[in-house]
Amino acid sequence: MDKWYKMDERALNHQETLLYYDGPQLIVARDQVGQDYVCLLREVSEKNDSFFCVPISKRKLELLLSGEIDLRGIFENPEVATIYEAVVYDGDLLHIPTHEIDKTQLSIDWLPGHDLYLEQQDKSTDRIVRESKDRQRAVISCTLNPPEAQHESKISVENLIEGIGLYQRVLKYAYQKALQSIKQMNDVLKEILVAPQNYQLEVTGVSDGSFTIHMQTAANADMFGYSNIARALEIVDAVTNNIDDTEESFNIISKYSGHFATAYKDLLKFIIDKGVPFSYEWSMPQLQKGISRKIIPRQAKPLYEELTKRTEVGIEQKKFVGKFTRLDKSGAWKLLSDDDQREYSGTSNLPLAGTIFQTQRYSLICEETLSVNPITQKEISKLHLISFTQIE
Amino acid sequence: MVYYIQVATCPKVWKGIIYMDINYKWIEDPLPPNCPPDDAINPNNMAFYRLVASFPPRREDFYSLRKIFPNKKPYNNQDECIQRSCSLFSTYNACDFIRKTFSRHNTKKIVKITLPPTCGLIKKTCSKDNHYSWWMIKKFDPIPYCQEENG
Repeated sequence: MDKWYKMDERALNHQETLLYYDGPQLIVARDQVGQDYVCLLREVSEKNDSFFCVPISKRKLELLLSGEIDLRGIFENPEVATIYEAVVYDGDLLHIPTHEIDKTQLSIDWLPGHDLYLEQQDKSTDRIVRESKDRQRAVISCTLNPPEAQHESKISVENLIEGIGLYQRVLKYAYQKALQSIKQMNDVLKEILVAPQNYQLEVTGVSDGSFTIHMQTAANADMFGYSNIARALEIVDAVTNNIDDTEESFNIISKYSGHFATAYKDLLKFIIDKGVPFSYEWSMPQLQKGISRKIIPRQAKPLYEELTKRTEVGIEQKKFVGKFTRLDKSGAWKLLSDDDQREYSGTSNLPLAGTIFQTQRYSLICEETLSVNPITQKEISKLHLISFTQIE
Repeated sequence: MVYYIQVATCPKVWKGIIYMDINYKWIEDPLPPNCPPDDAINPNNMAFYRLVASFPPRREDFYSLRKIFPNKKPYNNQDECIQRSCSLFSTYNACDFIRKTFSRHNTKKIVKITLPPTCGLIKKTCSKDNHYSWWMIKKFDPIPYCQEENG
């Protein structure tokens, strides 16, 4: 082994054990200037343990820890094309002498197998539980780990707005779907529950590391510490919890379908296209333990592809009752809704000749599709008439 | 010979009544103070997975590194009690992950071992859901409790 290396003054300090089996097998260590290394145990003897180490950026380390990138890739294609041997003498993990290895002298036998991903570990949610009780609201923290955070904690404005905006949109439609499942709702309760403050989030701060945005609900929790946004979060949690099981997560999304499915699909697309692992944790005052979930691009892809293939899941049907105020030969129409006295417009492939406007009331079933401006997050609704009947 | 002994016999470790050899000794005697820890439990026929050199395994396959290398110094920032235990996994996949990750384990077999109450104590350690430390009773023979697993 002496032949392979050049002497180096570098010494590493053990930071974390990632795999333990009768001793540390895979560790994270740091040198004197704060550079992190991932080190893989190669040999164990009575006197010392020998590790192979590669320098790793903070972002790539997070990707490794979150199971986004495989272990072999870290060593096979290191960010800095240098491999070190670190030797732990007499169990001293706090000062591990390290020297560079001539890679050409190494066979590939020592590399980890293909497609091995570290398991995600549950992290403590104590902070968010405490904060939620202090604020008496639901509290949510979203963490994004974009490529620009590779060397320092930063995020592009575009990615920040889009990521958080998409998550807010998912919550909005999950909340609306949750309300639809409430069987009996009197007018007073309905007025309370449909208020946007229930699902709208306010940013309360950011923190370092991966880019983490701390948010709270606009509305206070009730006297029992329950926040209505929990109705939405439970739906989102259920899907995200099954993200590795495409069939199951797709079934849950299908159950709610419509705009919720589209919003969730758009969030997955963002995660995949931008290569941004996305995680969130939340709590409300009545909970003793927070809930955390994570979606990484590798997990997002199969579900996104399924949702793209099965477009019917994203269709949202809407019913209107009112009077047509405009009918064109092209199929364009406008309707004054009895419900909210607003005018809605849309398109149709149905024959509209003979339809009476201004005076006759109709019941309409439309398909609504939404497109979203990624920067402003403004939604544009398009209605397409599927069927209509005259109300006597 | 098997007896019932009560918590009073060794109150720090043995909570409640368990089966064990009254002349028990740990396979690694003496263990450090407060080892096994207070919250170590009796496995009571729980099943675990471990890498072994061949099947059927040998007793040495269940030795800790410190047992294999008696003069090896303990890692200075790791719990010495855990270093004096045998690592087990509660899932096959976790065990297989180690086998596939490290070339020196590549050719090993995975055994499922169902630990009877007489085997010693276990504890979930290393902040991983599936990693357990096992402090084995010296007279316990693990081999009959092993079966080869292929996933």
